[in-house]
Amino acid sequence: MKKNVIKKLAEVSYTKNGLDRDKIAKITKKLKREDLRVYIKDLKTLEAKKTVTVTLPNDAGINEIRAQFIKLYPEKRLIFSIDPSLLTGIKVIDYDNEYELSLRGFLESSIRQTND
Amino acid sequence: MINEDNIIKNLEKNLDEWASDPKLQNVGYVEKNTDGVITVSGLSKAQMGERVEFDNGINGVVLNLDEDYVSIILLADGTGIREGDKVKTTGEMLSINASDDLLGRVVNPLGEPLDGKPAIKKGKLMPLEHIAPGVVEREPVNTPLKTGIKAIDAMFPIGRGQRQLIIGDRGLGKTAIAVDTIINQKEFRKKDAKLRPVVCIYVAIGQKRSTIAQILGKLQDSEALDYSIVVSASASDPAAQQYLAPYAGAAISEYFLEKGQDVLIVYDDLTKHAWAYRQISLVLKRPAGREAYPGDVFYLHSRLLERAVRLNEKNGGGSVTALPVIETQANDISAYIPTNVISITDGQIFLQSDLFNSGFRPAINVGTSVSRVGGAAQTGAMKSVAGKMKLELAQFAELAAFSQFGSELDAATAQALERGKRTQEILKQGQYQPLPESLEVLSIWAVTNGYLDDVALLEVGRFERDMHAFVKRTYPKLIDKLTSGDKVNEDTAKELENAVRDFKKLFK
Repeated sequence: MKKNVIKKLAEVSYTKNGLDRDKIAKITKKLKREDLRVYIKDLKTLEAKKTVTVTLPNDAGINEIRAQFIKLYPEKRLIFSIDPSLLTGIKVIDYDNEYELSLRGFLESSIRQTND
Repeated sequence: MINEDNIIKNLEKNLDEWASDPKLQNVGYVEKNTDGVITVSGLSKAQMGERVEFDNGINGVVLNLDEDYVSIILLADGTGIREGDKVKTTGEMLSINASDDLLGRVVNPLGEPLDGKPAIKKGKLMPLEHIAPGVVEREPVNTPLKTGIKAIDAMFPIGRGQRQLIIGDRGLGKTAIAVDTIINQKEFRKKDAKLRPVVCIYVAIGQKRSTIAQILGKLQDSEALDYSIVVSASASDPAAQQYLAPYAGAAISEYFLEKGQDVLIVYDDLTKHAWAYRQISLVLKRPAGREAYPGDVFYLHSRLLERAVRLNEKNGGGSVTALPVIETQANDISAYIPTNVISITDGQIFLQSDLFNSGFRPAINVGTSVSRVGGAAQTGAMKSVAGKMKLELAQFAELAAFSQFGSELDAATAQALERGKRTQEILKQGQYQPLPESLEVLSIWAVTNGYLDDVALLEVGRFERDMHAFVKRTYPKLIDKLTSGDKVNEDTAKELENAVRDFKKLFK
């Protein structure tokens, strides 16, 4: 099966914003082993595109931040995680875009500039 | 040494920008690693030719943008890169750190030193890929770039800003011509030189490291390394580095060009460059064309050689002269890459194996070699003696072919043949022995005016050497006159006549 057809199948495996078990079952039955591998990869990519990961240094004010992000990304699934090594600030991963405003990032870039 | 004030200033600047400027990175993940070409998912904002950075600090360049994937060529050994490794864009096109500090150094195409000397000071970042100057910024070639090789300076002169191809089989002295030309530029670093000094860049592509070391040694011994830069991507370096090496050399040359300087750049050789590009293209699964080269192999070299330029005064008046080298197989100049580069350049110096084997060195084939624009840059002195020699050599070639059929020759033909043989003999020149133009003119004038007709063929070399030494010693004013480049007029001809006659009286 052509790759773009499999990609289309992965796209139609969603109902609203979530994966549809029935649709997936129907599709996977028709796919060969090779095509299935491509299909799973496409599903993973789509999942990554529909997910936004927010990393904070601690959980202070997490509910307010969550509310803000729901407004910002209404169609995406939000995952919150805690990473104390950020020191302060925030890191947002939206598929292949990473936004970081943290003290760790500031220190790292300062060290790099000094070394240069 | 680290300047404390600068560090504090940098920190303050960073702090000011910190709150307002979040770090944005476009990232991707390694899917495949095949022969130095990495397939990455993500990196949706990557640009063609952009430098990307892997987690382990290795750099790569984006060479293919597909719908879901990006193909990256690695600039270092990629054995440590695994599936799932993170890659991030840098927002920078691939560039090289260029500064005057590079003079006398050996660097790789990324600008990293290979000579074990201290790191190169930060200068200007010059992009490897750069659009060549337009027609308005240019002016025709009008200044000579002297090679110090009689045959070339007389018959196939090279002008500053020209692209002159050196082509021939392996082991015929292509590199020797290029290195001789670099060594000869030492003459123009003297305070009283009439022409401006030339910065030389030697780009070694896909060569053995031992060969590069040998060339480096020769440049060092001849004190030519002080004004030269060697960009090296040897046969054991990744194909990506071999592919980028000439562009890195061109980027460095443009740094000096921007400063209004004259630059000579040698690409040794573009055949291996085309091989490296073919290898990368095949791994990238680009459609293969003739001899399995990709369709854009012509553009690969044309965009590189278009960067050779002679800028007008308004734009600094600098120049970049390119001497690309092409290696042929069995003297076949009609193969794919040789014909491509012949059509791009402004002339070619064709070295032939049978001439080399008969002892003619440099083994330049006068019939197939040509310089299309260099004539305009030739000095009056050389022009006035070279024309006659070219004509005599052409007549000699024709007569020599005819004389093979007949047994008896008339006196005029026999004399023309003898003269031709001596002319050929005088054009022989040892490796790494470039001559100043004054001595070149002297030799050519002497042979074309019949002063060598009575010298035995085997003695021509000694005659020339001794004559040079004699005239330099006894007639220094004549040498100065010839050095000025002015046309050989009646007075100069008379002085030349006296000098050569005086020498002949002493020559045994």
